[in-house]
Amino acid sequence: MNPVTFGDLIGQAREHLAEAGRLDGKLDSTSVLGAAEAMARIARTLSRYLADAAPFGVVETLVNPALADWARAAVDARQAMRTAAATLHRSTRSAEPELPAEGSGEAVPETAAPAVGHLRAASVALSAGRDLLQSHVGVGVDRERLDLSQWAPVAGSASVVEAILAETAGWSRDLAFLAGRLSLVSPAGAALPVPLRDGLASSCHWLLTASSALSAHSGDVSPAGMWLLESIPVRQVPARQPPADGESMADLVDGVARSADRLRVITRAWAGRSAWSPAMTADSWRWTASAAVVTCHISSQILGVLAAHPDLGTFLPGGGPLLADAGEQASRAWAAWRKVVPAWSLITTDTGGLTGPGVADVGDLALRLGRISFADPRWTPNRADRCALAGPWQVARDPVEFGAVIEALHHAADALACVAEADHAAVELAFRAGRLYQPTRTLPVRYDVPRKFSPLLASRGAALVGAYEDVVAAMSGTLAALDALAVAAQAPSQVQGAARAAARSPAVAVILPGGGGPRRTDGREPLHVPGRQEGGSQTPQSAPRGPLERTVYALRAGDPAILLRARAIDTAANHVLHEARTSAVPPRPTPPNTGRKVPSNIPG
Amino acid sequence: MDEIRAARHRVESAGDLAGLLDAGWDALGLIASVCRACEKRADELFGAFMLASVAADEARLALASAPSMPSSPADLAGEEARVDGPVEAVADAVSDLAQVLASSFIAATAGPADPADQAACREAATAVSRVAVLLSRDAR
Repeated sequence: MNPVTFGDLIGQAREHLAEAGRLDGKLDSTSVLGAAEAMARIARTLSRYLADAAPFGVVETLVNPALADWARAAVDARQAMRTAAATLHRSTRSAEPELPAEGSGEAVPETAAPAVGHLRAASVALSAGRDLLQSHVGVGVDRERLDLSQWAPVAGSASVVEAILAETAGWSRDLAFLAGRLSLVSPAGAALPVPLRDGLASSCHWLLTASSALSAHSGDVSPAGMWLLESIPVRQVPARQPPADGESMADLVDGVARSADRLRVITRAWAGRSAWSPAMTADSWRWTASAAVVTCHISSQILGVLAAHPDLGTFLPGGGPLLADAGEQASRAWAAWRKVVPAWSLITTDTGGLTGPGVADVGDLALRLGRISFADPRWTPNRADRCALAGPWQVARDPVEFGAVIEALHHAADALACVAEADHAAVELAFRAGRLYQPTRTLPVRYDVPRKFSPLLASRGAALVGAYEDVVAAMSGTLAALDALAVAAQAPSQVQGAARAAARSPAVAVILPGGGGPRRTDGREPLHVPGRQEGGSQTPQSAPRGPLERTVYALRAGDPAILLRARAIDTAANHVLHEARTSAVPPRPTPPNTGRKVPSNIPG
Repeated sequence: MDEIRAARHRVESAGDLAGLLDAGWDALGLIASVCRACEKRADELFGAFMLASVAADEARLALASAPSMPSSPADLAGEEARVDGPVEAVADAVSDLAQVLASSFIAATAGPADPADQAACREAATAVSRVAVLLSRDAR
């Protein structure tokens, strides 16, 4: 199961651009026209990459002194790229009547040089690459940005944006050279129409401008940034693959990775719905927590077996301390999840059933890891199916299996960390929304509730949410330990750890216009987006937009003056609020024991 | 073990639906508590005991919605069970008690009870059957 990654697509684009640059074959005017059309499309796509990386208007670069230099450069390059695309497009439209009709359109005419086909293929690959990056970001009802996967903040992280800008600069330069060479060709047959020749020459200038602007403000791209960029997969929810009897070790590891992929996407997408969605039930959360307990228990067992492997020195030299640390962290996570399960005791929601997202997947995860741990392809948690813990040689016979088992554990921990965060937020939201209940007969005698169920006592709700907080912290420790282990074992899953580290690093920009910064999908307050550091000095990327400016921006008002007026009004409103706050009379302290009684049916 | 035997006797000798529901509630609480206490006593049975305690809780929640369930506050004092005896014997006893409970709840759905009582008993029977399957020696 290898989803398409950004690297797959830009790899194709690079190859096609390189092939196109050779200008093989006999070039006639029709071929040059086709090449110019494809180059216009590529330039438009590259301008969109830049708009995603630095979603600021030209006016903003003029009026916002806080905007970082790299962002200004990206905006300048974007404008130059758009001009190049428009110039090429205009020139091809003007030249078309002077050439045979077969040169236009999508199909590559048989007479066209191979360069045209390569340029069109590169255009398609680059567009697909941008679509892939955008698949991780959604738009909320208020046009706010929603991170739909853990890769969304990675795509906006400093190292990855640097890599995108550097790639764009390179592509722009290649296109510029190609445009320049095409403007000078003497095609066989009909002469190159003057508008087309001029358009190619002009676009060469604009493309070089874009490339120079980007190159001047981007340093050396870190290999890690490029590796991360190329590793970004398309966001997809793979189909569930229920465990089957007799799965091999490879099948088990693949199944764990698949369940983890599903859980990462599903839990994030659903967390914000717990205040109202009938599918989000106490039964589901309880079951998820109990499957997580089993998974963490099994994980700590497997890590113990791996740490005691007789060939550890060969399979993972120096891995002993890492395995010991990971085992200890997994035990902590197990203990933390164990406290969540009894905290759910006798708590229900207004709807019931195992209808929550990912319920089946956490079960699959536990079952497959259990089959690795017990070396029985038919293992289940049932007492009738129990068997002795597998020995080291049953768990991993060679370095490949050793690495595969670590990869499975890493995927499982990563998925459970996502589940812990999502469920923590979801349960807290459900509690605040009054969706959690307990049987009335479990209330202390002083409560008189004439119904079978009563809203959950505040003390129990707080205990439940607190248990999840502990789980989130414990899973974070487990994940950090397994990240290190995955790197040491060179497991393919190590990219997950790198992605998390990049996502934690200062973000550089929002991807969608509309401002406001990334917003959590769990319905909480928007996340703070720190500024990017350049040359060791803190440079805030942009002053935050006010509410009116955000709205105007979202409406895509074309007049920059409107945007400036909106900003001025927001600033004035802030001044008024500040004055009101400083001149307000402080409230009197409330005297204790006012004599008001709390109604007996309000839990507390 | 004595507590499990006593709970079983109370369930089997319940005279009416309210008595069965009340006895069932307490028996399920005991099962959940015993299972939690046994979780760490045998690594290979950890999952079985842990999931059984969750299923017992779910059965209790189902019973709580039954209209005939006595409204008097439940006795939650015995939530921490003290478990003695070999873990295998405890698992057998809990599995047996779960089977008795499931049969009793299913039998209650056949009587002239309120449909809401019948639904609650059916749901509780399903959940407690899972306990029996999880802890049975030979469920396969």
